[in-house]
Parts: sequence; structure tokens; C-alpha cells
Amino acid sequence: MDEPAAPDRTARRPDRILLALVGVVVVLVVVALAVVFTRGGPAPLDEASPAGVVQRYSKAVIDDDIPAAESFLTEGAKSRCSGAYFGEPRPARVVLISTTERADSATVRVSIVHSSQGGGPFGPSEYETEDAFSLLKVNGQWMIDQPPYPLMACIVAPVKR
Amino acid sequence: MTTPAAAPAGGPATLRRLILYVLLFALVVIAASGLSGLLERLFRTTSVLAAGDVTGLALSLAFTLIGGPLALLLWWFAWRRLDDQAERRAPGWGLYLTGMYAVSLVIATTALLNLAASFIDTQESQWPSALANGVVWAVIWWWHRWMWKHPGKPSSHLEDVRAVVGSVFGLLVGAGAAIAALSALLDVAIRGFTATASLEPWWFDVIRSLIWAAGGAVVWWWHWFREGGRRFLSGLVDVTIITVGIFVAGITALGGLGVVLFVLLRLAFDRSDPLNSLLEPLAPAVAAAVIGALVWRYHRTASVQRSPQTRRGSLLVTSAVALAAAASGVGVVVNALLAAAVSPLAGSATRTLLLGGISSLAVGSPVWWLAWKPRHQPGTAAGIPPGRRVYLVAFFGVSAVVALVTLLVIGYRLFEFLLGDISGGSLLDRIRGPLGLLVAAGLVAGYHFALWRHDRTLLAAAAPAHKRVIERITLISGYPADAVDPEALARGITAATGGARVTTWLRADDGGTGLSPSSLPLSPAASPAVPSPTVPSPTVPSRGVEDAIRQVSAALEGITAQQVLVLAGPGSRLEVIALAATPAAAGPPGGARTPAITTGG
Repeated sequence: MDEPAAPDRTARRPDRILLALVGVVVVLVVVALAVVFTRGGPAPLDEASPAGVVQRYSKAVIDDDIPAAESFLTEGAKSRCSGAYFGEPRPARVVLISTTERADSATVRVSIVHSSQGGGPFGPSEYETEDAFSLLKVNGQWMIDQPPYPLMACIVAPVKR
Repeated sequence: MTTPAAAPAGGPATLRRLILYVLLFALVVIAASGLSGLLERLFRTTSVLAAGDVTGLALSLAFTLIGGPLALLLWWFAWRRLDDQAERRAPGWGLYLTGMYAVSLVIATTALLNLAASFIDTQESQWPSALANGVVWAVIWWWHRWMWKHPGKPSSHLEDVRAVVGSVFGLLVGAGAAIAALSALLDVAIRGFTATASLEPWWFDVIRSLIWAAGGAVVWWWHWFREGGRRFLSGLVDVTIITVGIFVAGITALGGLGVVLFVLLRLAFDRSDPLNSLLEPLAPAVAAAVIGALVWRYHRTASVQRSPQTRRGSLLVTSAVALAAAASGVGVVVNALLAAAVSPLAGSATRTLLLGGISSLAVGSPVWWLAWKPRHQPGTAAGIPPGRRVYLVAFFGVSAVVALVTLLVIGYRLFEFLLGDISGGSLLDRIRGPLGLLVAAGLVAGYHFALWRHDRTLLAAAAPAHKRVIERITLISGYPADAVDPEALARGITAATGGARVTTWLRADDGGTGLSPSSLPLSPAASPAVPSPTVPSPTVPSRGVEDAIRQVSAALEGITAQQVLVLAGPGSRLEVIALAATPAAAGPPGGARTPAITTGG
């Protein structure tokens, strides 16, 4: 395939396809760069809603701010908690799937995305799991009673009696 | 691969060999394990204060005292029979020798290198076990090598397999350990001493890896150069060069380069992680890129010096690896674009994802461009190299399968969204991965489908005008079978006539007088039979076939009959007789006893 392409019509056609494909790739990369680099952080939800509580808790866990995360947990959750989630890096992102709100309790289903470090020739890889937060209304405030395992965070030996 | 000769006797001899060599293999392994257990005990006696392991000793004694003599007895029995040439060329012996050679080489090398590396340690070396294993298996290796190279009874069957197994093992061990050594060294250079407390100096790790790398390199050098692995012109060596030297090394080099670029891009645009963990993958990636590129380059040069098919194959494999990297990079870019469109509850990581995709794309696409040369695609049918259509169809097929799978996943998520109470944001977040792959697979499939169609148009335009005019050819070959392979001749005529069905008959009356057709004058118009005295000349058979095909196709030029009788050979004799298309002449003459070979389609 070292010969130059003949200038007839049939030989030119794949060249045009090649140009179109290269164009598509370039446009994709440019648009992605523009969107990703201009985008701000996640939009904050209402703090009084179950999803808003889950959002603030998840953000604190991803930022490794354990005391802030603990402030969203019920007493029961704190006593059951057996320490932070070790062994794997924290999830890279948490996306809301659905919220089920009842009178005193709520369930927030989320999709938790982990990304693997490194990359290799085929780019970074991600995997996604689905899990749910159980929330209870304590003194008119939504508190997390059962966080999903990958988003568990508390101080191992609570100093409270 | 050297082909084994047919065994003189049929089933019983094969069965006897199968049982004999399987038993011998098992007995040698048993005796070796017993011997190495006893040796290990012997080496340990100086340091052991009290020994109580009776079961282990009993097992080693039983293995040595029962397995050892039986193995020697059986070997003596087998070795005596190997005076017979047919016995040495039987597949059973070749397989046994190759299997035991490979096993003993792997165990001996691993044990001895372990032994050498274990001295570079702050703790006391556990040398007795490694030394015992290494010594016993090295002796077995030497013993089998002696049988392989025995001047009186050399065993050449499967010898390229032995050389290739040894060199591939050595190459993998050497290159892997070299990557580890370089990576440990670079890591200290890049990140400094990360361990807050360590038991041993940092360079212990590097030295241990270097020992392994040196051992692997010696094994590779021995089999590739000394035993002549690179000189075998067999398909196995070609396949090894392409799979290990081009494919695996190419993936390693490209992967390393991709990660290096990824880390550099993250350093510039995405400092979301602490610097230390950001730089962690850099050293192994640089090492993998350098060593992978070295191995790849060596085999690329080696493949150029071999057959054109190997050269083509190595180029296509390089192009395939690079294209896969570039295409998955495009997929990840689309993925990151969609991820940015979703507002997550917490976390983001889209920037990291995008930079990863861009680095794959940036590493894969230039290599693909250089290997595939998309601007210089063949413009004529003659310029289409062999293997190209297989490559195009393979890429089209693989990307179609990827597209199908991703479509199924997207469909599943879409129906889940429509049927349940799921937020639109999470739908997009969960289909962005498959959607990115779908876009990439679509681009790849589209490009390769267009090329494939283009090639097909070229081939159809270049097909000879008399294609399909001649339906059947009855070829009576008078060439000696060792000069012109009648099957190859028939295939060549089929190809030259655009798919005519060729029935080949071999002449028995003049017994193939041994006149090579390649000594004919190369006049294409040799259609009438002109018996001329020719000098027999020993030439490469394929040239003879090529000449014969060229002459027959030249003689068939302009024939418009559906059925043709061709009398070719011996010597320059060539007669083409057009036959009338009567139903009676359609089939081969009844009652013929000569075997006929039919090709075509």
C-alpha cells in the first residue's frame, strides 16, 4: 500500500470518508474539551430534601471530610458504623437515580461510579454500581440511617458514650 | 515446523509410543521431585536442630527410590529404540522431548534466578529449596538437550518449537523484569523515597529485578541466537514474532506511552489528586514504554528480513493495536463529553476521564497513521496486498459486534428508564460508556466498510474479461510431481481463469520424465505442442508452478468454449483443446482409474 492513490473517482472516495472521520474526531475532542473545562461543580440541591442531604453527605465523604459526613448520620447509623470504607479509593462520582419520599423515611437510589487508576492503551476504565441510602426524619430534619457500603464514613471508635 | 514422517506401523505403534512417553514424562517428574526433596534436606542438615517431618522424607525417598530407577529403566528402553530413524521422527518422541525440555527449562531457570535473587535480601536467604530444585531440573534440562543434539541420534522433529518456547520464555521473563527494574529505579528518581520506613535499601529491589532480567536475557539469547530460533523459516517462528514481538510488545509500549501522556496532561490540567499519587503510575509507564518499544523495534526489524507475508502481518498487527487504542480514546472522549452534561450529586472526575481519552487517542492515532498509511491506499487491484481484505473484514466484524453489545446495553437502560422512576440524568450517566464505544465502533466500522467496498470495486474492475467464460477445465499434467505440484497448478489455473472448475489428471504413460517446466523458454505463446529437448534443471518448485500457470493461462487467452481440455507437460508440451458443450462431456470420463483432483469454485 505504498503506491499513491490513483486520481480516479473510485480511489478518491475513501479519502473523503477519511477526512470526514478525522473531522468528526477533531470536533468531538474540541467540544468535549470546551464543555468539560467550562463546566462548574455539581448543582446544589435543596438541603431540606432527602437528595440534598445525600448530596452533601456524599460530597463530604469524597472529600474525606469525616466529621462533616458524620453530621448527616443518625445516632443509630453512627453506632452501627464500623469505620470508613478502606481498601479501595473513594468513588469518583455519585449520580442520583431516584428518590422515594414517605412521611418519616425516604430511600434515595444512587449510581456510584468508580474509576480505576492508570489507563493503559485503551484509556481509563470506569465501573458503576447501584445502591440506596435509607433516610429517617429526625426532628424535622432528614438524616441518613444507612449509607451504601462504598460511601460509609465515620470515626471508628466514637468518643461519645 | 518440521513435519513428522508417517510412522511405519499404524495404530499399535502410536499407542505404544503414547503410553511409553506419557509414563516416562510422569516418572521423570516424580523422580525429579523426590531427588530435589532429598537434596533440600541435605542442604538443610547443617542448620536444622531437630527434624520431625517423617512424612515428607518418606515421600521423597519413595519418589526417588521407586521413580528414579523406573524412569532410568524406561528411558534406557526408549533410548535403545531411538536408533531407528522412524522412531526418532515419530510425533510422540518429539512431543515428549519438547514438553520435558520446556518444563525443565522453566523450572530450572526460575529456581536458579530465585536463588540468585534471594541473596539480595536483609533476611536470611532461603536457598536450600531453590538450589535443590535448580540443580535437579538443570541436570534434566541438560540431559534432554543432550538427547536433542545427540550426534548419533539427532531429533530434529519439533526442534523449532523447542527453540521458540525457550526464546519466548526468556523474552517474557527478561522484558518483564527489565520493566520492573527500570520502574523501581525511575520511581525513586521521580518521587523520591516514598516509604516512610523500610527494611531494606531501595536498590535491593532494582538489583533483584536486574538479576531476573539478566537471566531471562541469557535464556532468550541462547535459544534465539545459539540454538538458531531466528533462523527457522517456519510459520511458528513468524507467528511468534508477530504475536509476542509485535502484538504484546506493541500493546506494552503504547500503553506505557498513553499513561505517560495521561500523567503529564493531568499534571498540567487536573491536579485533583495529591501530587504523590498523581505521579505514581509514571515510572512503570515510562519503563513499559521504553522496554516495549525496544522489543517491538527489534522484532519489527527481524520481520522485515523475513518473508513479505511476515512483514505485512507485523504491519497490520501494529496498525490494529494502534487503531484499537485510538478508537477507544474516541469512545472515552464521547463518554467524558456526556458525563459533563450530567450534574452528579457529588464528585466529578470528568476532566480525568477526558484527559485519559485524549492521551489514548493522541498515542494511538499517529502510530496507526504511520502503519496503515491512510493517504496511500491501493488505487489498483494489483496494489491490494494479501491479508488486507482479511484485516478489513476482521475490523468491520469486531466493531459490528461491539456496536451490537453496546446497543443492547443502551436499549436495556432506555427501557428501564421508560418503565421505572429513574431520573433522566442517571440514564445519561449510565449509558455514556456504551454510547462512547458505539460512536467509536461506528466510525471504525464505517471506515473499514468503505475501504472494503472500494477494494471490491477495484478487484471487480480488474477481473479478466474472459472470467466465467470457461466453466470447466480438464487438465492432464505430465509434469513430474516434484517439479510442479498438480494441486498448486490447478489452483493457479482456477485463479487465472476467474474461478473455472479444474479437474486434474496425472499422466501415467510417460511416468513424468523429470523435465522441469521452469527450464522452458518463457514465451507465453507456447500453445501448440512443440516438443523441444530441454535440459533438466533443479529449481525451486514454486517457480516451476508459476511458469506452468503463466503458460497455461496464456494459452487459455481468447478461448471462448465453456469446457477446455489442457494437456500440459512433460517439458514444454502444452496443448489446449476447446470442447463442445454436450451434456455427455460435462462429467469426467466414466471408468477412469487414475485419481483426479478437482479444485475451483
